[in-house]
Amino acid sequence: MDPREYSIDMAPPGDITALVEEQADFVWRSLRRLGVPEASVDDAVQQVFLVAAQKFDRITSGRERAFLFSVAMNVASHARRTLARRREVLDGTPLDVVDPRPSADVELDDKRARALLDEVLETMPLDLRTVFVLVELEEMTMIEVAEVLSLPQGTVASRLRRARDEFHAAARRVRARVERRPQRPSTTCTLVTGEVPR
Amino acid sequence: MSTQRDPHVWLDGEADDFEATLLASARRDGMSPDKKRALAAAMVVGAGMTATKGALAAKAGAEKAGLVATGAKALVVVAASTALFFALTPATAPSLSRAVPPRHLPPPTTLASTASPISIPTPVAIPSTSAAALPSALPSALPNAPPARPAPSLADELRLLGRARDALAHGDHAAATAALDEHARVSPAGTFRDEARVLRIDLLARSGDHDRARSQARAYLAAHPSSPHAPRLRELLTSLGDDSP
Repeated sequence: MDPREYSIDMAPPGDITALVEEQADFVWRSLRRLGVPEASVDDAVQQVFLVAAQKFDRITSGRERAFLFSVAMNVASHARRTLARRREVLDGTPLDVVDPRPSADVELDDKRARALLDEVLETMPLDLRTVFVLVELEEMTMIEVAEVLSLPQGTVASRLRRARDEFHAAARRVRARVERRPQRPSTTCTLVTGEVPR
Repeated sequence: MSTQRDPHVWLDGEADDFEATLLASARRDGMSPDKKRALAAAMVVGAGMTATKGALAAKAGAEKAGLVATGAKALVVVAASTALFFALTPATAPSLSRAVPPRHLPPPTTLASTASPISIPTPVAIPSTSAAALPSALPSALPNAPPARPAPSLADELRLLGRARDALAHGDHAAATAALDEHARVSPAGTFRDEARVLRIDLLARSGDHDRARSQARAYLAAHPSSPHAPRLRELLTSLGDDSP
């Protein structure tokens, strides 16, 4: 029997599980910060890794994140379109939204902080948001981002500047709203900046 | 990756406390360990049928557009594996004590009891949960096993099934058979025995024993019509020219 007849473009199990182990958090975070709702992110992460498994031989060693992020951008784009359609059907009602207002003790735990962050990111154009996520949250250098996104470094630098400006502006708006508590207007917002277990 | 960074570095040193808090929260975000393990397991045992469909379709000269086109094939696998993934990620992850079901209890019908704290296999060495750390769930009076045989870990099961899948992918049916036989021997009531059964059906199909592959696939579907593997087995039956439901 010709083995080629039965060969497939699929990563060996050990390789793909190692890739999952090393990069699942990165893929998860990227998808979430690119706007994939929490309810859909498990599915989206797996879609990314299934593509990776099928194209494993095309992933250059050392460029795994670049490959995974490019796939994640496509998956996130599809997820966002799907979400937008669902929102249209529901006449503008937001889905999968965590109430970002502080609870009675006005502490911002990680979950609430991430909900607010996503609210801020949602206001940014996707091209700026992408650069912002990679630099500010994934600690990539602008050179690395330029490689990942196949953009000139000058373009990355320009987008990062604009992204930071937009982030500042949106964060100010969100903070003002958070601190404007209708039931307890005199209470100030306490920020929890310590390590919080997942 | 570091989850902490000097707050002064955020936004090129221009982040206020509020902004730094939001950004730091995202740094700590990530996939839960249980879901990560489940994803790894799903990738190992859930992706193999893609090859079966493509190979069988090619072999039979019946390259139906929806089966062989790469994109469509990926979608089918995504759907099937997604079902598997979510079967692997119950809302409440069971404890390790459920990983190896007691012999006298009905075995799990899905992979819902697999999200236990095991190590993800790696290409170099498969880390295994220590057998000593597992509960003594298997009674000593197994009919075909030594009384004191240590319970195989989930990682052991995954390693064997991964080996079988890898062998299948490379057309090494003897090695696939050996791996599946070993799985059946060391873990007859294993958590992944359904996956082993599906891989065995895959092996039959690839070996040319289409009658037995069809027969066993139908039997599995009759017993587990809602199994996460059902869509893939139905696709396999279609590839084998069996259009019965």
